[in-house]
Amino acid sequence: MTEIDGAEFVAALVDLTAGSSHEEEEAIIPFTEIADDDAAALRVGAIFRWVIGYERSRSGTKRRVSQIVFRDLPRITERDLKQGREWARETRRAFNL
Amino acid sequence: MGTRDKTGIQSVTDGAKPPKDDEFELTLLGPGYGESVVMHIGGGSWVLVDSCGRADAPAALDYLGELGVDPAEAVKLVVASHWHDDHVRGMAAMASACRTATFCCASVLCTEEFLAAVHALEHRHFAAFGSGAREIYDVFSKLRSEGSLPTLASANRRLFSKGACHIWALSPADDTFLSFVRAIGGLLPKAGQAETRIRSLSPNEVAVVLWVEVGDIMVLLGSDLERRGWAKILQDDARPTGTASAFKVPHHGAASGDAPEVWQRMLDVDPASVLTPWRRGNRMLPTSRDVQRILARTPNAYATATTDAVRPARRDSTVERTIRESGIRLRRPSAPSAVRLRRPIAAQTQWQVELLGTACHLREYEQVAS
Repeated sequence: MTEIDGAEFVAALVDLTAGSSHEEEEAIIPFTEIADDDAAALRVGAIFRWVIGYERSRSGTKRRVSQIVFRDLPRITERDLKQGREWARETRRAFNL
Repeated sequence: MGTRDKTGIQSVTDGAKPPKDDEFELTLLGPGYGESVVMHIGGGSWVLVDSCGRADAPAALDYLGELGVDPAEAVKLVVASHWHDDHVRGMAAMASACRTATFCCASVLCTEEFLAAVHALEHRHFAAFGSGAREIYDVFSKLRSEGSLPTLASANRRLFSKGACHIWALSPADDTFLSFVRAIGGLLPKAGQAETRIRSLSPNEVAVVLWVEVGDIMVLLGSDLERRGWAKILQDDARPTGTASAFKVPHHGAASGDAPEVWQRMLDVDPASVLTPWRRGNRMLPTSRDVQRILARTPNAYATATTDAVRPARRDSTVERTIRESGIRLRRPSAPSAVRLRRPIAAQTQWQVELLGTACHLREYEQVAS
């Protein structure tokens, strides 16, 4: 998610189905497409998965679905932060700073 | 090659003609989102500023490849003017390909605070795709592993000299250092917070503005520096003197990067001016008002694209129908295009301007945008 703009948000998309590894498209997505549970995750920098396909119910009914699910990314730990500070100091030393 | 229109501007369809050894070239590449400057400084030596296009195939390398230039030997300096995605996408690939080049970035990017934030957010590479911060992380990791040192840019520091070519940084000013460190503190992730992409800081006061001299040719590359940064440059008597005949308009032509005194004191009358458009969601730069303001200052203004409203990729019809019904709008930036300025280094002549791909005179951009 790159920007929140009123009732919509903007996102940079990577088409994983097409085997892409970089952002090639931008999407403007109405908030109405987002599940209520995900509303709390709506902030710039958040990452989501968008799946479009068919869904079959137990009764066999087939319907098209478009589902946006925000990824539950790993939490940053104290250890990550400590490693970050160490890396920063080592980099500065390596650069004679 | 293409045709010459009434304005004397040559439009080319085949941009694969390299400059002569004694010719200076400034090419601004812009795929609709992002920008990259490619300069031939004479004698087969090149300087690259910023990167755009695909992360694994930066537009500047594609362009040099079309000209038959080997970046490993020919590129002498690679500059990351700042760390926003649209200026450093592909920077790590570019720095790797330009094996003998010196890498340069703003000194503030080597503060402990910034480096720690970048490492904490990017070292795990949790997502399949990159970011500006990851590009910087990858470049610094590469430099460290090679034992190479970056050249750090700050106001009035000479970054590069080779033959008749001298390049100075005009920014960032020393006093932006503390405010940047304070601001970056706000971006530092906290323990327990979910990993995320690092946000950009605004306004941009730490972008590296470059002053390039090659013989009598002077060029001002405005990066994305915003008004307060320009005020500091204008107040600074220690900057190189002279006026530039070519100008990379800052911040995609936005009013926030405009300083009238720059046009009065740092540029020739009617300089050749180039910019890349920018778009995110419903916001677009330059606006119609920006275009009018720039054209009032110089009739010689060009953009790398008329519009970046390009159709999204074609997909399975069911998928396309579902997207349409969802109300989600997709947009794909246009393919890389370029404005190319060339001039003999020794002769006092006008710029030869060539428009590659969808690049246009800014008058035409206005007609499309309005």
